Amino acid sequence: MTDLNQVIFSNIKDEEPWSIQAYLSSGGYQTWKSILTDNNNKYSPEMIIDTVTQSGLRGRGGAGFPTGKKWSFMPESNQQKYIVCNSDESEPGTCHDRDILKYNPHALIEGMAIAGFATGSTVGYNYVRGEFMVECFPRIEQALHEAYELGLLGTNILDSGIDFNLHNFLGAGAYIVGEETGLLESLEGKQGKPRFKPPFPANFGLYGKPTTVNNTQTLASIPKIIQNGSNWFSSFGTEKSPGTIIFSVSGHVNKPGNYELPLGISFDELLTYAGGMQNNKSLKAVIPGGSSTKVLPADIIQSCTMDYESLQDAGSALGTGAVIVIAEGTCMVELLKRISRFYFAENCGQCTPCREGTGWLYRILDRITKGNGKNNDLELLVDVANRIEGNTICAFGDASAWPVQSFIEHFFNEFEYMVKNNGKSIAA
Amino acid sequence: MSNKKVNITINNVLHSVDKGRMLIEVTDELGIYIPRFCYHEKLSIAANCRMCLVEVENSNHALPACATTVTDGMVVDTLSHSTKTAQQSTMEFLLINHPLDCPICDQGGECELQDLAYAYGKNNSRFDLQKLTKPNDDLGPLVSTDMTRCIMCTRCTRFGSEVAGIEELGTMGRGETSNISTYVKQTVNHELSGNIIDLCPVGALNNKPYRYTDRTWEMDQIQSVSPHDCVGTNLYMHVKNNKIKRVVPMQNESINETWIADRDRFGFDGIYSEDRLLTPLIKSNGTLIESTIEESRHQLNAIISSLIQSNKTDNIAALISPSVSLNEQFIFSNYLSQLGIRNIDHRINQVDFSGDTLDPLFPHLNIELNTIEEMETIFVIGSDLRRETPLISHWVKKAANKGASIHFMDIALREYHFPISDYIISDTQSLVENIGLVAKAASTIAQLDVPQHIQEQLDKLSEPNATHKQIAQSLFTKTNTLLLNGLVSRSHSDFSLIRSYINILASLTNSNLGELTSGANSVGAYITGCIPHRNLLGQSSQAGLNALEIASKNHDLMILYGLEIDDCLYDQILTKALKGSKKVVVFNSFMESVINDHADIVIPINTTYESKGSFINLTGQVQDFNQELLLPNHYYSNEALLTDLVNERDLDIPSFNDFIKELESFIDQSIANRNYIKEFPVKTSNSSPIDTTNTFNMYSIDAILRRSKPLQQTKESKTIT
Amino acid sequence: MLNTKIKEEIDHWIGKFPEGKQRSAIIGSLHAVQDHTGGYLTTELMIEVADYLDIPKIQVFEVATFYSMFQTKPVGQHEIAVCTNISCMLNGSDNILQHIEKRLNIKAGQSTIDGKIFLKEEEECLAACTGAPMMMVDHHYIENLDIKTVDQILNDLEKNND
Repeated sequence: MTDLNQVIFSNIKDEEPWSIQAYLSSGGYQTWKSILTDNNNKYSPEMIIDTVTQSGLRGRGGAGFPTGKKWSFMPESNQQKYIVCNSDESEPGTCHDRDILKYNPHALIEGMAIAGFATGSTVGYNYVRGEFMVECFPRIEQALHEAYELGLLGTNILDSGIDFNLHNFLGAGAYIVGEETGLLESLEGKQGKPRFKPPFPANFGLYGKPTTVNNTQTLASIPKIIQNGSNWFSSFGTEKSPGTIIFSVSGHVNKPGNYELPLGISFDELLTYAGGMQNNKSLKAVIPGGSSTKVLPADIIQSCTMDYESLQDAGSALGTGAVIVIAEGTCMVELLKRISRFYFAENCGQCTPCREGTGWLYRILDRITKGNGKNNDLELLVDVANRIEGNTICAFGDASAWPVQSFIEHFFNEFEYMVKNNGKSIAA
Repeated sequence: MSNKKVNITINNVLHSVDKGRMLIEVTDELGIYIPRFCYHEKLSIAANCRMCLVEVENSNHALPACATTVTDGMVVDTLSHSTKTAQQSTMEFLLINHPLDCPICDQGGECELQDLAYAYGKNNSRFDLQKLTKPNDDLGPLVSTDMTRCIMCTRCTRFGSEVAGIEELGTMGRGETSNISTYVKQTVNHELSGNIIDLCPVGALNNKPYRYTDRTWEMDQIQSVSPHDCVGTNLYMHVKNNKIKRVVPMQNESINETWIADRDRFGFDGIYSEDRLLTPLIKSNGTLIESTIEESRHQLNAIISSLIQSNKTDNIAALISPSVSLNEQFIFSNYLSQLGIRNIDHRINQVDFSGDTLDPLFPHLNIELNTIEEMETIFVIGSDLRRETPLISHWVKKAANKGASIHFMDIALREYHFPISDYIISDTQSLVENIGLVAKAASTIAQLDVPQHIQEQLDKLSEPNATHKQIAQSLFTKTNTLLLNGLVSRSHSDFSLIRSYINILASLTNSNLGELTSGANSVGAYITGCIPHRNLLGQSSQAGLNALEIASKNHDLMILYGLEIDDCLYDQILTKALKGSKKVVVFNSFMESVINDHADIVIPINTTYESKGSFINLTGQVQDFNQELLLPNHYYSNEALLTDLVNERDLDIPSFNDFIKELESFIDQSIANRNYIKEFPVKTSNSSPIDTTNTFNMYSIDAILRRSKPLQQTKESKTIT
Repeated sequence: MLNTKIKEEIDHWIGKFPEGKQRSAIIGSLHAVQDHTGGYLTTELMIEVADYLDIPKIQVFEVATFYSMFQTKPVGQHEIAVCTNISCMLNGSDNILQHIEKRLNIKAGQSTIDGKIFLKEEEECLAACTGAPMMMVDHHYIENLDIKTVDQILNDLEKNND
């Protein structure tokens, strides 16, 4: 079996791994201190960006954009720049960022400091979803306090001439602020309605200044990558999907949990880690990367490896690495309805297709489950989903469309059965 | 904007267009229509309606034309199948919850949703579920709300935050139930608020007073000019059966862009007031009895003749409203001057006339209104700018948005919705001293020699403080600077001195200068000689009595043209004069109680809303209007009335056509000469006892506005007495 | 009324943002107000926040009505939010919710008559999927629920007076 927890969760078995003492004694803040005390220009911003690029680290928030490349978009200029961490973990199925904030917050802090240095951002904000108010916000706040106490953050840190001030921000409950520009709007004190792109945050971000927004896991990976080198990181995983990722495995498995593993492991191996299927049921389907990714029936997912390319070729995506396992006997219509309800409830209301379309999708599914489905409802569902996809300001529209398209594509007979049988489920 | 061009192909035709523009701006200019709702050229880009999605090569989905910058080599197809599909999709989504209100919705016939649904939608609906409804707020007496119709384009909220500068409306909630609302119960009060009626592409925000009256296709559209201030806002009147049903903006990029003030929009209602004068009245045995135009004319001329014969021409006085049309001013002024009557004035809100000999040919602003936006420093003295001239305040705000430093000096703290660099509040007495100190600060900074008499006057003042110096410095260092002298200043008891200081300041700092005046045509009044010290085209005359003097004396004959007591700053004094004068002749459109009590002859005249004529705005632009179409066949124009008055005496007055021919060059030259006043007035009397600090109520400055029912129901009207 | 403690908390949030950007403190301010007053945001309180931050009132209203954690109507003292998103649904969350609704005699979105408990309408995944089914009680995450645990918690809440 492949080794677990080699990057971010390498400290997870330590006593109180979240404390600064534990972090320091396992080599934490070495990289940051090296940067601060560097007199030979060994650790220049260019070197850091280059290392990250070479490592092949891709954004772990769902889009998988190469991180080093994203950082290189930040302009060289004297104006204020920002590094922002997206800790608004809300993608259904995903719960690994929570554990990072709980068990290794200092990796995030150090990662943000290094990212700030690399992108010329002297101020950073860590946007934490509001519901984490008690669950893990106190811990990341405490960690931040500890880092300041030791003089690792602030102005002219350790007499280096380098400034970096970091603040934790608490949200108030809206999935859409997980979209990077929606997050920036929320950080500015507005409703979290995404901006149209271009302009991109690197040119016009927080308060109109150049900003880089990265996911918690992406930033928490940085210290180790710089410390151990890009080759070390890319030695895990595959050529096109290097490194490790934390899979949140949930659903009908015996040992749901967060498993930090190299990309490219087989689905079967991951399922084994997660203790196999509950009650020995057979696998029916998997949503591989959070509810915004397309569902894959058992026969397809079982021949996949868990990386960006394999899942994309299979017609879905790695997304956030939130693997939702669905066993035989589950009604796919009810499941799709629940997923659609989520997008209906969480759409921000800004642009026409989502605002009007997600409710339509949900209500059609609702009437199908209540026995009032009409003959052309399935065709209508897919057509409405198709008309939302690609036509919205942000990817939320696509995310609301993909489940509908993929569920009906792969489980058409279930939907058809329910329509024809007054709301009875084929899985019942 | 760089002059670089890029080549783009639209519908198989290659175009060379400016780099860096949005696709929709480019296609609009080329006359290639892309449908849209949320995009508006005066507002920021929202890109939320998704109606402008078009196919662009190499993009795997349609792109919004309003938010896509043109790039070299771009290939766009606005007519392709995928463009049409995107348009149909958007339209279908918009219509699923939109109520089928067309038969009862005022917007029907001029509704962007209707038009685009017809052109770009499908002809059937697949939606068979329950439609949503949204709650309505009461936004006040001017704007109606039917928010179930709203398509959340956010033009109204963007107007509030970007143009008006005040956020009264916002988007509440999230998702499909989100709604445009004030959240708390309050009305929308900004003086430009009515413009959201035009902006709303559907029937969610409509003209409340106009509700359910008419259909757009039944009305005629007539161009007009607002008679309520010196801006000369361009309007369209929508008319049916010779009645004005509503007023909307006419776009004029150099005056009012696409906006009009609420008083420009709703003022016209006043002309249908119940106390409208339709028949002449002559006093007989103490009561006013209906008579004829001919008889009233005869009697007026008879009174005048008798007074001329007994050498009492100087006991005849006339006050004329500053909002009278140019042709009427011309005839009226010439009529009086030909008769040797020198006591004529229109400046019924002014109390200090010691500077009359220093008067420019006409008070004006020497730059175009839209040039105000380019100013880097603007100093506004003695003005409740938003209420006096809402659209000039709008232009000042535009300059502020661009980073101009705006400074105010006033007798009260007013609310503005843009950043202000300095706000000097002084009481009425020290307003003069304060403006003098800025001029003094400027004289210290000025490199050139200040004339001795000016220096002597400035030396009498105390020392300028840091703010005075800051303002002066700002006016010096910037190239494009502007001073605006407002109506609070104009009605000040030391107006002439204030004006001299302002002129000196302008001259020292090489600033542009704007003098705001009351009414729509003070400029015309000056040029036609409706002032005691000048005749036509600025020729000096032997001075007659000024407005305050006229109002403070009992005359043998007092004539009022187009004005009521409430138009005048010293209404109580004027009332006494009317009471004490032997004969009073009033030309008015409405019946007023004071007139009723004291007039001997009352002659009805038409409002400018129903006349053919012109106004000259404060930048010297002569704008014609022709609204004679509004009246039924027995219409008797004011011009005809006055001409008959003249002809009855066989007077030989100059030709109006000749005057018009000379007018434009006269105006242009006068403005181009930029003659700042460089003298100080000689004060002949002590400070006037008149209280000139009354709060300016922007909806009661003329007879028509005071009778406009919608405006009188606004918060503005109700809070200020 | 915004008491000293709330104002201190608001000031703490304001301090995180650049000069002139105090609008960014709206969410933090509303949390502070909601948590320390009756558990929901009255119009008066929101106006006070706007005045304290020196921003247009409507900006506060927009935020309060957009985010799920803010309540603008009176709700029960303790908040229970049962996650019924996919992973939780697959692990029996619907039963948990039904049980709670039956026991409290209210539907999701309502508060108990005695004002003790507010059962939130919860759609958004709370990011605790590996501990499904779960619920949030006064923002405390309680995972791996079964009916027994739920009953115990409800008992505690009903006894508890703070």
